[in-house]
Amino acid sequence: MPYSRVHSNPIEVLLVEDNPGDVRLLQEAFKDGQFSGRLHVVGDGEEALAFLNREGPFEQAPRPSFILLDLNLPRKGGHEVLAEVKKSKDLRRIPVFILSTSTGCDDIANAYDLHANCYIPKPVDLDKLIQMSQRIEAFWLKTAVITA
Amino acid sequence: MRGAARIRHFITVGGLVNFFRRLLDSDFMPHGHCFLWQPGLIWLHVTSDSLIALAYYSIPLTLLYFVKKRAGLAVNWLIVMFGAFIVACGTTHLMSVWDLWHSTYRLEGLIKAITAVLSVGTAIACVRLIPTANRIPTATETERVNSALQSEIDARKETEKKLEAMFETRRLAGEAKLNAFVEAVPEGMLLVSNDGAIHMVNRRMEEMFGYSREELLGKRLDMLVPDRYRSRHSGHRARYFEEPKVRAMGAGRDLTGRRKDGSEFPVEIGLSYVDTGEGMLALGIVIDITERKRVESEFARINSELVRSNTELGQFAYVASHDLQEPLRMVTGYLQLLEKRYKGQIDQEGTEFIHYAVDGAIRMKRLIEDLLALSRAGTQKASFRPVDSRTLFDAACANLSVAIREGGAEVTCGPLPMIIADTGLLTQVFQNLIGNAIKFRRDDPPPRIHVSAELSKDGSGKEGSGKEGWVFSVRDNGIGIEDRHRERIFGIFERLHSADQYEGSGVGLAITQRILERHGGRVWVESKIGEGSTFFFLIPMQPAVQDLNRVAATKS
Repeated sequence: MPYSRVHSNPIEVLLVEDNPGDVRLLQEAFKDGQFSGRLHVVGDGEEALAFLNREGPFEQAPRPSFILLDLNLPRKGGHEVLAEVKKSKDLRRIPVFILSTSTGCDDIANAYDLHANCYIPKPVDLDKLIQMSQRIEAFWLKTAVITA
Repeated sequence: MRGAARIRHFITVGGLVNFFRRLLDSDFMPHGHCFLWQPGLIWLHVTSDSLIALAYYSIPLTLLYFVKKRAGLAVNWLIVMFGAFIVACGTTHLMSVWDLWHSTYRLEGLIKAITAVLSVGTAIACVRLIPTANRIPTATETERVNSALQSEIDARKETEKKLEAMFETRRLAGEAKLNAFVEAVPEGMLLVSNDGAIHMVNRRMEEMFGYSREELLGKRLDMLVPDRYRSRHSGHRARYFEEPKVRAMGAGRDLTGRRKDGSEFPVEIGLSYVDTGEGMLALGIVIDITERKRVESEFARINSELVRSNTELGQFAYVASHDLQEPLRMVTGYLQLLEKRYKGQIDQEGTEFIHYAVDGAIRMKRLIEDLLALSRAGTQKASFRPVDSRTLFDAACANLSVAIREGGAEVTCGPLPMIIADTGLLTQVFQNLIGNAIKFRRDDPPPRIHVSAELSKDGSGKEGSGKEGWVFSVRDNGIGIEDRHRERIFGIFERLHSADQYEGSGVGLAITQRILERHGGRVWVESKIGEGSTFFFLIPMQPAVQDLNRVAATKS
């Protein structure tokens, strides 16, 4: 089946982030950056896996085109979620972007060891945050090709 | 024949032959005729001559016996001559008796002639012997000498007795002194035989274990060992006596002693052995190490506390990198969102306030990041391996390319050596120092920065650290540093300028210093206000890698 860059369905993005302030800021930045996708937000690692596996309240959840994953999460940490996603036959092709305040070498190395697709330090500046959303779209949606 | 003619005839060959042919002839009148055969006179001569002959013959026999007994006698030859002379004399007397009845006067004459020769020879020998004979002490003289010798012997015996007495006194004094020494030894001393019996203890043993000397002597050593260790201890003892050797203090295990009151205390034992006449004894030195143990455990406690607080510091770095930055991002992000969304509704002044708030938050973030960098410089894993310092210099220049270009700086270097260092950390040192040199430039002339290295036997110049190594220098023509600030600038958050003049949080040199300390080196500066500064740093040949302080880096 030939691939198509023009997605018939809207781009679904799963944002795993526990801090409501961060969530809102990202939502605003993505809005300002005119990001074409739709953000689905869950607050911890367990919810994230439930969403991806369409369990419990997420029975109707769409399969996301990519995942924005924070590392510092309650209950189940970002590294664990990443590991489980990349171990799962069904989920491992979904690109996972780590979005973290941490710039520690160990965190970064760990993430790539677990096959994260990229590691993005959270920008402090609002403009940089908007820029980030635009660059994600420009590269991952308009330059690279990902599986449906 | 007349006399002279007769003698002449006698001494001729014919005369001599005639003489010996008729040697035993009795062709003369026997000598008895001269005595007219008067029996009285005859017997007087016979008896006297016979007795003389007998006596003369007995003398050589006696002499023979004497010579035999005294083999070492120096004058043997004289005695032989004397013996022969006397035998000859005796024989002449026997001949006198014989010739009373017979007339073998030729034989008698011959014997007399032999006797004459022997006697003359002996007489001459005697004369020649006089000097030797004179040296032979007389009996009285010998007596005198002997008594002198005797008195000397007596005197010596007396001296010997005195010496013995003196030695005994000294021995006793020595023993007393030795006892005093043993008593004065500030640690416990005891002697034990291979059956475990105590043969000697000193005062300190009494104090240490609470037993009196009488309670210990002759008793079993086991009484000083806690019950639970006794069987093992007697095994140790048996093995020691099988193969005794000197065991220094601290060489063995720490042991436990048991006092009279049953309480226990840690001891250290040094062992040696003494081979006395009554068999081998083990000499033990016992040290009460209660205090040392207490200090040791105190050290261990302080050490674990240090490790804990270091770990906490490491965790602080982690907290700083995450949890402190989160709220900061909220402040910045929402302030900026506010500014953006409500642009028209907020006046000029409001926008300015928001700007200051954002600026403050951003600076705070930078401080946190620098603090984090400082913490990482001290804690992150480092691998020390040979590396070409030129590549580190190049990497630093590449990282600084924007600053170099914007500052119009010219950065050069001399020949740079191979060193043993952590690549990442030392690149940061070059970067910090070159970056500072560009940052603290004068308006004019344009910044010139030169990096060089030189081998130093003692860590270089007046500030040398005594280590052999490479001393790198980063020389600039910038604003310079006042002498009084030379130490201060390496402190954390130390700044000499306001943020408007030169930005930065004052952590760079502190990081530099920490990195060099981890390499076993150091950093220092020489500078002249208005002319420029030269930062020196030492990388030792054999970096005594100071990674002991490094806590196992917590997640960073």
